[in-house]
Amino acid sequence: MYFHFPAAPLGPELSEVRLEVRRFLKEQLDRSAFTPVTSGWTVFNRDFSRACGEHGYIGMTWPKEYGGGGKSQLERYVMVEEMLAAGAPVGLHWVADRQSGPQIIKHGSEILRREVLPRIVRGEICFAIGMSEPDSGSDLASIRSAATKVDGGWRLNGRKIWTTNGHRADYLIGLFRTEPRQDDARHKGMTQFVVNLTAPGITRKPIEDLTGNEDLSEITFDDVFVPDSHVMGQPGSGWQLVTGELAYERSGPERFLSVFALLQQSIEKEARAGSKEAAAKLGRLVAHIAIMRQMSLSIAGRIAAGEAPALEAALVKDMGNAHEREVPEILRTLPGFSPVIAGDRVRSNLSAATLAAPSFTLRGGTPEVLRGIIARGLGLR
Amino acid sequence: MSQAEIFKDTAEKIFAACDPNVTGFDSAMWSAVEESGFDRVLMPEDDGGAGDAFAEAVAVAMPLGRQAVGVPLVETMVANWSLSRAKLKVEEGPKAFVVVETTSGALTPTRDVVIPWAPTAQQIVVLHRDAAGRARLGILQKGAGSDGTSLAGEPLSLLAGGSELKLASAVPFAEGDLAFALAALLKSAAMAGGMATALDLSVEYANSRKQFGRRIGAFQAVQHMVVSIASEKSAVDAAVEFGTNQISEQPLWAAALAKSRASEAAGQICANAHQLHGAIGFTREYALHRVTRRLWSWRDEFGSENYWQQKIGEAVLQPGRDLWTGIVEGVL
Repeated sequence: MYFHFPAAPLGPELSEVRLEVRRFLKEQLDRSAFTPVTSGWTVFNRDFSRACGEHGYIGMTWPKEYGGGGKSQLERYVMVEEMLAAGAPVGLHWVADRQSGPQIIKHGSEILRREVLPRIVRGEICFAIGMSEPDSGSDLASIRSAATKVDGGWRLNGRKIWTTNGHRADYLIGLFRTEPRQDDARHKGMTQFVVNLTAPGITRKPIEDLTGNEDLSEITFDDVFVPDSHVMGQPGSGWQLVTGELAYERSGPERFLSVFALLQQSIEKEARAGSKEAAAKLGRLVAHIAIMRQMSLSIAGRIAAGEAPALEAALVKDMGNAHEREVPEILRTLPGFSPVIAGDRVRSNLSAATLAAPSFTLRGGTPEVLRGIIARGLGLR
Repeated sequence: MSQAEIFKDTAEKIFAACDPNVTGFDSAMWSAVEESGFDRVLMPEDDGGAGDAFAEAVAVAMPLGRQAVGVPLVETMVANWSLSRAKLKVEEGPKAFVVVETTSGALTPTRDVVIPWAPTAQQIVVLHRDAAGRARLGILQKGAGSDGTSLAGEPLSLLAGGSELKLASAVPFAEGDLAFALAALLKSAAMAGGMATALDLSVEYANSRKQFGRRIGAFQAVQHMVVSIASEKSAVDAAVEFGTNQISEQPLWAAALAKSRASEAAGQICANAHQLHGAIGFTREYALHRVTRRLWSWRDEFGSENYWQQKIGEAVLQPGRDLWTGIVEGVL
């Protein structure tokens, strides 16, 4: 047995969380606070994030002393899957809640925790992930942006690119070289910093993507000062920290629920048309989601038990992304579904998903990188 | 150790002794199965069973598939359970179990019916529905149809469509859905076992075979084939685990997820495992075909992926169904 997906222990408290979140979402929908969209976790909505904060849906598992809810990983999982299935716009607080906050709780200084965690929990601030650079995508260890030690802190120089929400975010957790790169120890000498994006020396420029949205950006660092209190872990430990952070990024239900709202609307449209023609194709997608959900819940259960199932997480992300790419490809072949951007909500959402699909298998690690990780786990190489 | 784990452990030991050169019905293994009581595991304790021991039956079916043992154990377990539930006589020996879908209620299927293991079976147990859609269980007289074998060389009978099936005794059977679902789940578990062997052989071969001066497992294209096998197999494992936990509560949903996923994965896993092995995997001498030929057969037994996907699709296409509630709570 190479990989292990034991059923997660699901207690009655989870049903309570589920009902509570459904009530919240219904209230929000009733007062038109949002319209269900695909990839809701990339959609920025300040009011909605504040409402989430008020209801305790950000930092649910974090310690109470920083404003967190002290709830279990599985309770958070249920909240997240309900938000995603409803197509809720959770983009502002998504990265902070999923990975930046947990990373800061684990590796940040006390000063830093008190500075940012309560504001994340209230849905006030947005975090971005500063990994990719113009010459460093999948090969993250080749980054060139660097930090040099100065009195009381560090000076950052370089450039990060393809950063989601970089121009809207308040903070960025960035990976920088703090020692020159050695060919025989490529993973050494990097450090993670928490950077206040309003600091002097930072220039931010949105990048328009092929869908016409401006969610990505380029950030230039010109002698930006970061205090010692904003260094994560020990200087030089950046690679271990960044791979740990990617594990949070890879295990969640967003990896197969990005296009769920679209699938739901499409099935409703087919049901109204009274057609059973596509039943097997749609049934297959439904089976895949139900099974991936069990796998993802299993990972959440193991994380809750203190394990770190990184290989299983990579496997589910790879599988989930393949599913997300497949959904619009299958839907477009149904009669009356061809994607056009017009009044029909299903066709418009299908258009958005078709255009966004190339990004599904890029963000958070490409299939090529993930399969390399899984192959090592199988004992190949 | 749970009772299921004890069964798994015992089954692994028994099936490991299987002679890989036996084709068709493996009578030595069948004797071992009867001695262990695996064939009766689902029956009431008074009849030598463990009483609706669904998880234990799954735990036995997996190693059966892993070692590709030529015995109708899945069929016999479900047949014995069904007969005893329907208060029909349970005879000793191997059995065939088949689900016949007819539209009219008369037992005259429009399409051909394949009955795996019919030639070696003591009893051929048939599950069907009457005109009102109520399940019935009956015993088919032996010798009907023409004999042949499955892709794996296991004996079967093929009954031509359009001719009436003659049942020796047929009684109303309240648990038709559960019996069908159990058969589909146990077949999926056996398939998961076969897939584990295909994965093991593939990893071992990729790490030992050298070409172009390197182990072929060092090539990214080969690594991705192995990962695809592992990934599909993991989805099947998860679906079988879920199905095992849900079989009593929601039998058709449990079976639909397990069997649709196992049947869908089988084709891709076999294709990748053979591609990776090259010519050696195509030889009779090498062990891979023992599992791949069974996976190619089993994927069509007790509902192909298309059959179960269609069921799920029709359920979610009923007007007024909420898809998300269906995913969380089950659609069948």
